[in-house]
Amino acid sequence: MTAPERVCRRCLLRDDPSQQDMYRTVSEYVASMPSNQRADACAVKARLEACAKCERLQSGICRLCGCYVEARAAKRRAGCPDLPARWAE
Amino acid sequence: MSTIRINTASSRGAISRNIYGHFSEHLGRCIYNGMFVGNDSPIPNVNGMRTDVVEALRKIRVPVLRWPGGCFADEYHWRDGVGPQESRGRMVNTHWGGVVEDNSFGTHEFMELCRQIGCEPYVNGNVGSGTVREMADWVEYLNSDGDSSVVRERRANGRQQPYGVKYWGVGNENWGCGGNMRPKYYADLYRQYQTYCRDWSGNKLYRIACGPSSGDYDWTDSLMKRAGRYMDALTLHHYTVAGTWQEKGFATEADDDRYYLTIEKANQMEDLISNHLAIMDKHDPDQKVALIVDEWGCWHNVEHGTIPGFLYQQNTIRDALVAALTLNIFNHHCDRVAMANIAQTVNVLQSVILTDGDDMLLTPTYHVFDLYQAHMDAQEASCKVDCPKLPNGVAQISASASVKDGALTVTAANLSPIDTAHSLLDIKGYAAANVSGRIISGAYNDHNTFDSKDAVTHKAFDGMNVTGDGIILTLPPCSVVALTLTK
Repeated sequence: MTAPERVCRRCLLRDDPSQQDMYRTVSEYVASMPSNQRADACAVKARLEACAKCERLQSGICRLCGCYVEARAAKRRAGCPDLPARWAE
Repeated sequence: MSTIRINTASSRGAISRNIYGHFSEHLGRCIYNGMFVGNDSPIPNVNGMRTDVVEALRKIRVPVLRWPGGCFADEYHWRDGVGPQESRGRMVNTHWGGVVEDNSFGTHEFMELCRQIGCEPYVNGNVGSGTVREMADWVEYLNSDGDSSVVRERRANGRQQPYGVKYWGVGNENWGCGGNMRPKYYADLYRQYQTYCRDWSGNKLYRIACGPSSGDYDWTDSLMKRAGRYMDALTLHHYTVAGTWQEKGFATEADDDRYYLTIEKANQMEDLISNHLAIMDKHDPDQKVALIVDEWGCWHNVEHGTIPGFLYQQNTIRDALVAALTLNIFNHHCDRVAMANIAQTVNVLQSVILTDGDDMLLTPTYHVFDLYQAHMDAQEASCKVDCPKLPNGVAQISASASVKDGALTVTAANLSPIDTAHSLLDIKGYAAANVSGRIISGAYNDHNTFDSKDAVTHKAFDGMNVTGDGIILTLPPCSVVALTLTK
């Protein structure tokens, strides 16, 4: 008998054991982005901390925009779709 | 030089405004956040509907809106979506992303959305997982002026008068997500379900049966044979997929091969309509049953970094050309195509609008619908094109024409990504004194972004040269033109 895979409804992809394949896919996409389009590491960290506290986060997805937040947070020009925005501009 | 020959004395009849219809499903961000944000949202709204989106849809005079699906329709139980918000049913939207559906947008909200847009509602009932009684009650709830329990329920929920919904779909894609049925089985279910969809309070229901997917001619044959006399219309679904379902390509990343394949796949709509109509005519020689193409459009890969189940894709000049080509095909078949609904209005597949938070942009496809508005309820005019073929065998120029209120409208698309088209507009039966036009053009991957919302829009068309033989049009590569001619 196999133990059921834990699903984390309010987690980022990286923290959800059931989403590691998708986390790899998203990470590869982020790595493929031109460096001038990527947000700096500090900004990404702060954004994801805000996402992790947000009730709109569901299984790594922002319910407001349909994005995997780890992909959206990595884009320099992207913003938080909530009003008021939870990310510092 | 190519020739666009128009004869206003030859017509297949009126072009139903409903050919320019749209489709809204509980899918991704189409309804929620795309159209509906709720009363308490900081995004400007009226009764929960985004004012920016409603205003944009009013500008293109959306004539009819289909709801709630799509695949969602056959898992939708309408009573979950009426009554006080706090007591509405919650479900997992298993078809689309596995997200929780809280039913805060339900029957009354959809009717309010249609009221604000100024369009007819087209409601698609649940056959796949619903019951005859459930569907019968929904029709009565919406349309009866009587004093039954279900009507009292509607009144208790705040609506005194019946809504008078005309267009009623009995199941969706019942060959697939709507129950994986065989045609004989669905035909019997259709006959049963539609029996109890009553014409309440003087409202004549227009009954719509689930038709085939693309080239499934057996489904059409079987349905028409067994249930044709019980329906007003049969549906057809056909998506333009430029590749395989696993690898469709990204909206903004087409190369020439993908571009030509897109146009070729979109152009299949012509043969599909002709072939299905021929089968329908075999069983219905008086042509009482119309064809409704209630799902069509480009289906690309979802945008990078977005959840696959939300079907969010960008929209480019390539999509605009597919829209122009397809709408021209529908116009040519206006005698039998009674309605069409592009999938889907906002944030899903070939959308006319994309939103991001409180921001909104109009896609190239929106601008095509804007340019084609004059065809709605106009008298179609014969329009034949002599022109070279693209490498994929599709005619380089697609065109259609119509007359309304004394004005002749000609819409034409140059589908070549490299060649300018010089075309003589040869018009019979209409002596035009004035001509003006609008154009959408660009490279096939051009699109609008939230940083550049007007990269693709329509502008005045100056590629017209009036000669003794007619008007010579100069159509740039990848362009859509709408001409207005008046006497």
